[in-house]
Amino acid sequence: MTKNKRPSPDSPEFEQWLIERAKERAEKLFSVEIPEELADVGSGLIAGPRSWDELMPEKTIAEDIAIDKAHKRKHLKVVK
Amino acid sequence: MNAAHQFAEGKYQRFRESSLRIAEATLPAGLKNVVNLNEINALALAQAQQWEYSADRHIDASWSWRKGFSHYARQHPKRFELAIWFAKAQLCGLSIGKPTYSGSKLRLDIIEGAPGQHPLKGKIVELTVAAAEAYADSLGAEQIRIMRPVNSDVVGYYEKHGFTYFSGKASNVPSHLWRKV
Repeated sequence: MTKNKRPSPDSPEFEQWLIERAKERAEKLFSVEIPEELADVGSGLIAGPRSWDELMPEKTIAEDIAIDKAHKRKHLKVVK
Repeated sequence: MNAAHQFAEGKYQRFRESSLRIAEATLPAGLKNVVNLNEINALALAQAQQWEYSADRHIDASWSWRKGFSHYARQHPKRFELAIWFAKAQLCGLSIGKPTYSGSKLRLDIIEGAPGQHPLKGKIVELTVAAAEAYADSLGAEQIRIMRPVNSDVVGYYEKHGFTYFSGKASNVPSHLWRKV
């Protein structure tokens, strides 16, 4: 079983695959050195909207579609 | 709640529980015995209510977890939710998110650390990413997106973890950070 090939969620290998990937990620995540000037990130709001209304499906679905399109455009190269 | 909604709630509840359990089990030794990663329950909401009275709370967070979360949860059975506890006693962080409309990405809509000083201040980002990516893996999502980072320090912090910043310009493309799971 490779760590990148996702087993079927119903298979006995699935949980082990999740654990191995989580372990690998945790090792990297918790070993990154953060500069002193960013030490206050983690206290108070980190990411979020100004109101809960912005998180309702009628807004977020349109956002998801627009973001996917924007990402695709960013990856397209202009050929002259 | 109709039957389909109830079925989805139960199915994704199992994914939420198992991903939090896995993320917690794979924490570094220094955190493993003091950090608990749980779903957002009544106790977490009660502690979060205290944040609302803190002068240290971010100016943009003028809303209430207690008032907003239950409605969000009812609307989104596939949601990601996380309460980060220190020593099973002190709430240090809350986060919610959901898969995008196509299901191929997981967006984190709110990430908040307890205001002021707290014992996990330097670890909220890492703990949230660890739990969210375990959930994304469970669902088969291939990317996570941190929606509406509040300032350039937050952007810089996530960039240290390999996230890419996308500065939103159009009204329906909010600024966000993303990375492949």
